[in-house]
Amino acid sequence: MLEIINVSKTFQNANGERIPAVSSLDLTVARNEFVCVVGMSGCGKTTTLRLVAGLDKPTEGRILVDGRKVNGPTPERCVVFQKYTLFPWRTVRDNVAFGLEIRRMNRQDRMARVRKYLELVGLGDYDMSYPFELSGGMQQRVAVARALAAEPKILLMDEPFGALDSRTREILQNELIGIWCNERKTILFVTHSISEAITLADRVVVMTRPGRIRRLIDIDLPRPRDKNCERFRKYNAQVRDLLNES
Amino acid sequence: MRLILPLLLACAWEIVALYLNKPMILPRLESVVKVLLHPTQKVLITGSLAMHMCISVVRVLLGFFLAASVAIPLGIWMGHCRLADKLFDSLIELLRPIPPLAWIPLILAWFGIKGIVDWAPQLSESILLSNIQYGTVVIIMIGAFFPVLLNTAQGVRSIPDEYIESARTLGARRFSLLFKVLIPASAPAILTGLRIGMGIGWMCLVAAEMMPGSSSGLGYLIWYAYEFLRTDVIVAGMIIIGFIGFLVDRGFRWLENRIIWRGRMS
Ligand SMILES: Nc1ncnc2c1ncn2[C@@H]1O[C@H](COP(=O)(O)OP(=O)(O)O)[C@@H](O)[C@H]1O
Ligand SMILES: [Mg+2]
Repeated sequence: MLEIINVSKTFQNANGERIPAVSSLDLTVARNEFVCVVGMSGCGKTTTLRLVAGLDKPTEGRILVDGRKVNGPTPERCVVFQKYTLFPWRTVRDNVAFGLEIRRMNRQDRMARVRKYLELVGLGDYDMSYPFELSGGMQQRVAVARALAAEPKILLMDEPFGALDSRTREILQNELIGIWCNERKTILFVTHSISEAITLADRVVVMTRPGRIRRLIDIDLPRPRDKNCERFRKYNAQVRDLLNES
Repeated sequence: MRLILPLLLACAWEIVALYLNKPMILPRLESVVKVLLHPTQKVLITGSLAMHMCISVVRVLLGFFLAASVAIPLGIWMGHCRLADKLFDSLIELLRPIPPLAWIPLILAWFGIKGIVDWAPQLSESILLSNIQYGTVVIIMIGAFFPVLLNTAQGVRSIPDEYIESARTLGARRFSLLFKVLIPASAPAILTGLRIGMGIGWMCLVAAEMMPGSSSGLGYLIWYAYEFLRTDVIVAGMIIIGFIGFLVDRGFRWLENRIIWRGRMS
């Protein structure tokens, strides 16, 4: 379980002014829940995710994972960024093995696990390719495999499909849902696309500037979800109105 | 195609040399080639061409490795840690514009012509090692140091934060971050720095060998040949100096090109 308790984060800009990025945020994410954070650009989504990852420290408040305070990044909470962050000097296989090497897992177990997750994202045949030989969608699949291979409790994703074309994006969304169903992971997924959030999430967190939660919406739709069905469109309109109000 | 201009130059050279017929000013090419073809023979009354060459190469390698072994770690530190960058930046910017050769008088004053034989007398039997003076090595170090340092620091500085942060969330800490991310990510920049540093070190070396107190090396050889007006030896020495510099540069470029992901970091 992830608990974000009264967390605030302020940054200092170049002029020394204090900019609130996240203010008094409270959020609890249950085990194996899929939560999407949606909001306009600049509303504090990335900051929230980075705080949970332990890449930034909250100015105020606490973040707990299974009751223990978050203190710096660990493989327990892996991140998939929007930017392609595969290491260009490593093959696909060695990219996925990165976290396992650091953990000094032995070669045999490592290779078995790499194989498992590469196959899970449908790239079993690309293990010896280099990242720059792959398309953007394939690179993000590898990034997902790399994060999953570390077997994190919580998978953090910051607009991971934001740079992809809409068709590829849809395919990857479906794959992610499939993986989430099989692997049973807690996922905190940031996006600025309302329909992406509603397609994926059990619960949508609507955020507005400056880093406040506007509303929590349970998405009570069976998966796979049809973007054209009446209730999907209702959720879509509801979220859009909430974002437009502010 | 590449050889046309050098060959033309050689022809023109030979014609002018024949016409002038003053080997003290312009040697005939064949006498230059003769020196080059007998690298193990004694030149003048000093050692052979090969010996001078080896001594120069050992000196430059020693200075180069010493420079790299300080510049690479320091560069990585400066590139990764903003505090270290601020700490060293002004000092480096102050020292960097001083030409390495401007250090020679001061370094002569400090080290004289002392070399590693003064520290380990048993080495005096080895021609190579008994000819390594501290002064020359330090000049090469100064010459090679800054390009390696600045390229390394810039290489590490330009690693996108996302790479480092991804690595950290995957569990990378100090050493794993250093060896599995910072060094491989900046390897192309480090290699470029090493190539430039080596080139400058080589030029400094030859100049340093012309300084008082020097008694061996290619720089010394051509300066010494000048006293006898043996221009054939001078030109032969220059050709070797140029050729070694060229080979080393090519070697580094070859290494750089082996890094196939160069320029692929987003
Ligand atoms: N490192 C930083 N330094 C200063 N201000 C920042 C920094 N990171 C984010 N901010 C500010 O915090 C606010 C929220 O940013 P962010 O969390 O990136 O928004 P989002 O991901 O929702 O687009 C923005 O106003 C942004 O300018
Ligand atoms: Mg963002």
